[in-house]
Amino acid sequence: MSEKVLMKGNEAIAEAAIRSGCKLFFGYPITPQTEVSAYMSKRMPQVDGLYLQAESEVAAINMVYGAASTGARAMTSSSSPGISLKQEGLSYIAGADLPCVIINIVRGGPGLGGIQPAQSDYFQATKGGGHGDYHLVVLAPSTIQECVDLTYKAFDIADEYRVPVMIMGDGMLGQMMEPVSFPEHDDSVTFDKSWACSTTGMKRKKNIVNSLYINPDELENLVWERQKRYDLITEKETRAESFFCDDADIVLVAYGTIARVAMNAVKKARAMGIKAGLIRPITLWPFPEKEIQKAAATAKSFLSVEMSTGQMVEDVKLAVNGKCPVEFYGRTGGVVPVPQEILDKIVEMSKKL
Amino acid sequence: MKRMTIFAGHYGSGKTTAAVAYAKKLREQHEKVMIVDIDLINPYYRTKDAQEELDALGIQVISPTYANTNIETPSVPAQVMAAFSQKDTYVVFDAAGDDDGAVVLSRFFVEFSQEDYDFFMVVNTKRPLTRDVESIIIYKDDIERASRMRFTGLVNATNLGEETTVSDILEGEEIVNEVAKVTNLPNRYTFVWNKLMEELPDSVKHKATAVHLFHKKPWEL
Repeated sequence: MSEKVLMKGNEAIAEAAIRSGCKLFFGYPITPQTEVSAYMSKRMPQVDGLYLQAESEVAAINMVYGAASTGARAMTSSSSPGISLKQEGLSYIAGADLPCVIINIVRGGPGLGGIQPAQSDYFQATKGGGHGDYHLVVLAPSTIQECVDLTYKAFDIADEYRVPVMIMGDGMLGQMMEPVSFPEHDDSVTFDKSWACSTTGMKRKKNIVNSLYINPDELENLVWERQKRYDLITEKETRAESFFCDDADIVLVAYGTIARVAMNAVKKARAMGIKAGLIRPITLWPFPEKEIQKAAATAKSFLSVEMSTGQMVEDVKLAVNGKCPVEFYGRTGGVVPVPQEILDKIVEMSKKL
Repeated sequence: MKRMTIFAGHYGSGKTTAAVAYAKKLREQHEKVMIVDIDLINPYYRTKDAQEELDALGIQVISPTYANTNIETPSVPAQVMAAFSQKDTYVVFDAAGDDDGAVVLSRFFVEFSQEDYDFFMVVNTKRPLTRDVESIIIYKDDIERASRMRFTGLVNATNLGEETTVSDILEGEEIVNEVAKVTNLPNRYTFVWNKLMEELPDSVKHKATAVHLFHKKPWEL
């Protein structure tokens, strides 16, 4: 499908996963990500893959744990309440150094919350929703095409560093349709899977996948070894886009679909003569601190725009490190901001410069 | 145009957009028009999104609603029966996608069997799972089985959203015509983004109905 087709974000992620060589999908339906499962249920049989609807989200993530242990590319998807259920499994997967991909198409919370788009799972995704010293690599696409491109990337990052990778989008991204094409997937890149619990062929010692280490020194060594990989990921895989930041007085920071709303507001502000810019984090963990720091050298203030009550704003503040004020504008509970309300906030901030 | 018209098809094929455009067309000729949303699957992108426009035209909207909010519950509203009892009203049914969505239609199998209706399969050949004749026919058979009803016609709703070109529509037209040949179903309508209507060749223009893209994305506001 190098030719364009019209797809929902959920479908595009599912198709891109299959093209990345993921033949094992374990799902459980929940709005607004159900189309990932629905699409997988139709497509997996066509490619000799497995679609399995688990009995619960907890079961699905533990099936991923098992499948990933064999070195195979495996994926699960859910939305906020379901992702909460998966946290224990994610911590175990991280603790066992297994690569896998998790999709979170975020809806309003907490609790059952609502079914409309939100970004209020930022803390959970980037600060470790499960227990222990671990990270998820968190990728945040803002278009359907980027859903495809980042899904390809997610499986490679997972295999390269033996870590779970989350793709986090909001309900709007999962549900809306845009024309999309699927670039030829580069299958020539291979990854070391000598750790996998596949057959020994009676030629080597058996591999063990485990996250239990009773000896504290042994566990500490493993945790620090993993931390070094996290440092490497931070160095090599951090991604962000900057727009109009070179001369910007007010720098907006927004990710996912809200970056598109913010971009519209930035352009409107520029048309009014206000020097606004935008940084769009593509990786939420690792957070693009360098891009923020670079802009903070000349900017007069920052504005974090989110569909939450203010979560990423804390990372923006850490990166800005007191160089200038960091303000916040957010809507939550499933309400998507429109460009005008962000523009109003920019105008209000410009009067204080 | 018959008193009852049902739109079904692959999800995301453009059923709701087509159903709304069709109801508006009916309203040009008839006093009483009703649109019934029986999509119990997907709570995003619904008939209700066009409610204001439909209200202004005096088109009655029946949809699964929860306590007058925009939250919809997955249950068939009792008011759907009005479609069958109000014999002076023209009714458009907007079914949910795929065979799963068409199951709801089977609930009204007895009622429909006593009516003269059109049952259209909406096809968008730019959707990934309905790109060719073979896959469209698989969908057709699945939906007919689930709904316990036979389609009476096909409609071409091929589009790539705002990137749609006339050649996309014509490519879809060719595939739908091929499906029509194999299945013996007429290719009845083509739903076309209003901006492209003028560019259409006469061969398609005569069966084309303009649609408005009423689902605006927040960054387009």
